[in-house]
Amino acid sequence: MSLLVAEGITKRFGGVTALSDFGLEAREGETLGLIGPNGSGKTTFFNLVSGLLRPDSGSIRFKGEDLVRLTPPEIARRGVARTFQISRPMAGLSVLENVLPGLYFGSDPQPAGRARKRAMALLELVGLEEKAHWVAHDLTMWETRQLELARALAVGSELLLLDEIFAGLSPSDVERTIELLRRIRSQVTTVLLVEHVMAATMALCDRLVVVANGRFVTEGPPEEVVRHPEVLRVYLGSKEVPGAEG
Amino acid sequence: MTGLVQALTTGVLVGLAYAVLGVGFSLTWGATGVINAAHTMVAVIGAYLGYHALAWWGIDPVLALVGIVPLFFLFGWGFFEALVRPLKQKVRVVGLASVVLTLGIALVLESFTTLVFSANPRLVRTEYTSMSFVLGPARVSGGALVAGVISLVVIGLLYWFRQSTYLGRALRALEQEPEGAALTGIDVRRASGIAMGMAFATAGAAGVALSLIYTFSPTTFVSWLVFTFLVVILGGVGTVVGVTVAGLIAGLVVTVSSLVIPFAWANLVLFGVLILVLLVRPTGLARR
Amino acid sequence: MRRPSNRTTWILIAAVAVGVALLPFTGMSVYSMSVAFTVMFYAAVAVAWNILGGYSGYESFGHSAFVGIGAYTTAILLSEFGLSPLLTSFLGATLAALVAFIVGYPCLRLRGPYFALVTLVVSLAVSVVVVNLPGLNVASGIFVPSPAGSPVMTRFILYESIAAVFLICVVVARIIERSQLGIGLAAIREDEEVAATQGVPTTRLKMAAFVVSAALTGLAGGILSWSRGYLDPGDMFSVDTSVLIVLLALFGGRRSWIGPLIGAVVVTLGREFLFIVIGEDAAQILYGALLVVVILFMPHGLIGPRPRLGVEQEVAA
Repeated sequence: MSLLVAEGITKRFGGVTALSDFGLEAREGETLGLIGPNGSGKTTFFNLVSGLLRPDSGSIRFKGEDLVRLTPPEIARRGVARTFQISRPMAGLSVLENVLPGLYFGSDPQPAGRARKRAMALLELVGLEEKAHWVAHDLTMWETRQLELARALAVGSELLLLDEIFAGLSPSDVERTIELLRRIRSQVTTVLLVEHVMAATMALCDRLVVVANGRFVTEGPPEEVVRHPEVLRVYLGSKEVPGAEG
Repeated sequence: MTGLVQALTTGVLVGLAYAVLGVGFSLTWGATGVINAAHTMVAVIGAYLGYHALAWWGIDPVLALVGIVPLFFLFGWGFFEALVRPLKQKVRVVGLASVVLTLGIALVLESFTTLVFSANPRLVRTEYTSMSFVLGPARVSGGALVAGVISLVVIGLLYWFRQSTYLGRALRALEQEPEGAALTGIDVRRASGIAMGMAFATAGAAGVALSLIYTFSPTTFVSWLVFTFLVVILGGVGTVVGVTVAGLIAGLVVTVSSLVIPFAWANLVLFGVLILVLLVRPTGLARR
Repeated sequence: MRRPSNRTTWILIAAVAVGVALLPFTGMSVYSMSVAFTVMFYAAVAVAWNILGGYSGYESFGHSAFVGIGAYTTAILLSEFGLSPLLTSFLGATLAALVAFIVGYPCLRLRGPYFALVTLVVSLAVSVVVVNLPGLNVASGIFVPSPAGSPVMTRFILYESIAAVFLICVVVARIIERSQLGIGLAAIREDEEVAATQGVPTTRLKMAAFVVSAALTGLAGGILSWSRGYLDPGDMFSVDTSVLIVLLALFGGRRSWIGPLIGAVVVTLGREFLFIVIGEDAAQILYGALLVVVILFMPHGLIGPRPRLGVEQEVAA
């Protein structure tokens, strides 16, 4: 069952073509990884899905409905939630207040009392409940990632877009984050993640889609994809398996 | 028909003066990120200096520019070194914060100007301001004509400077890419100081030019500021051509609409144009 | 230091309400009462402005337009038809809200300095329209009859009326602050793009804040005209007033309703004092200097930044 189907997506920024006739399909219940070399258009794709950008052409159907015409709040209300590559906590608000808007205005709006309880529950799930009343500005980098996750969960539970949530983490933090994602996995139907850290990608994803230079390269189960000659060429220009070194 | 040609001519001349204000304002904004609400107050001070050069020493305001322009250039550069640079190092003085900050400075300057020169509206009167020149089917006052010439000279010089000199091109690079510019070896501090110096100098010239067409008093800086900001937003920060075109459009819109509707409503048309433009392109007309 | 609890804040508001209402009974002179009126007016307008400017971060530089709309509505209805501003100021508020509704959608698409400019321009446009509307004779000035025969009674009625408006503003502001609307506005202020991806209906919330802010400002304006014997067209719509309103909130602090109140009290009383002591021009110089100082050294205003638990925790450890 397809949850998200993107077809014919083209996006240009002035003279640069970020995505060219790109498409992918995310099936309900799966964890889909979107991988590709730097600058291949992955984050642009996320921005298109979440409505922050509009494609020059193509369609993005979520449960059959084309998201391209909708505003970001409308898309979020349909259950599409995302994290940001460079964490963007709402720095002046408390951790708890960061999570509340998603609960008030997201796909499952809650009245005030219930929203607070649910917010605390989400913070507990990601491990931030101790700092619920801290101002978000004072969190460590790791904690802002936890917050991004809690916020996304507050918004919706249909499709979760994770934008390089493992970026810049030490190996032990990568393990922690994989654990965290496994813990919250049951909260969300489908996960689409953009990643560079192959250890995490291989550990979590059911399927991979590869994009390079804005174009679709291939897709399939992780073990197959990483050995695909086109993928190897695009990543390394050699016969090495991407990320084999760890 | 003559009415229309008249309006077009006056519109062009007034528009050029607004363009001069806009171009200088945009210099500061582009080079330092500061939206200088005191820019038009500097222009008003220039107008006063020109007026009093005539009133006290019989020196024509246009001639007085010879003294005013370098003086204001130094003031501008000094303003940058003494205020803008240390402030930017300590506080986030950009965007709205800079508007409020420079507004405070403008109010202080306005008070001093009122104290020194009094609040009475002034009008510059020389042998040529009341003369009428015939340009084809249109009649133009001498003052407006001279103002137009001053404006063209200033805009022309600035355009040439930015296209053909090293410093000018460095300035354009700085406006587009503040961080990158520093990495390419441009002395950002010097370029910014010179940019603000030129901004103040052009403001002084604009003040003298406008004083030949309209009456002015210390509070005039407010309406000039609205026009300046409007012209820069319409035309785009960092483009002399864009701002000049926007200035011309502004001047023409006001004078042409005055033909058919009462003058009080003419400004309204201009504001309507601004709002329409911003609706369609929230960052102004110029392609960014 | 935690934020004060809900209960505490309402008790505080009640205390302020009582204090404000009973102030005239402490035997104040007519002059003091008119100063108190001015303070209450600016406090009301600053709190109202802050609902948009402080809570959502969209700083309007054109709020004097709403003051003017409210003022002229009551003035005209009073001088032509003898209707009391106590009633007609609500009509003025509604008209101000209507104008905000119309101009809100295009204006709120812009941010920061662009929003400041467009609101300034719109307020100038509104002033031109109101002053030149055919049939109303606004341009030739309007004489406004005073509320009562004696100066004392007049000042008393005016003061209590504006105090009531002020309290309405505070109550509305406080309710918004802790409501879903308030959290949504705060999210917009912090990071509008992120807020949008959280599902916050940014356009709708900003419009709501703008309209409420305009209505309350119009309400205060309605009472303001009652306090003037004569309305000069240039008076009600000045850019100076718009800028002053922004300053009051900036100075006092924009986090909550308390900031604008403090800002209004301190700055208005300060200005009165300076007018007397050193005259109007010198007062303006100080006012300009105040703007500069506030921007540089007190970005959070007098009430200061939000208390940070994390910092204290680190210091303790």
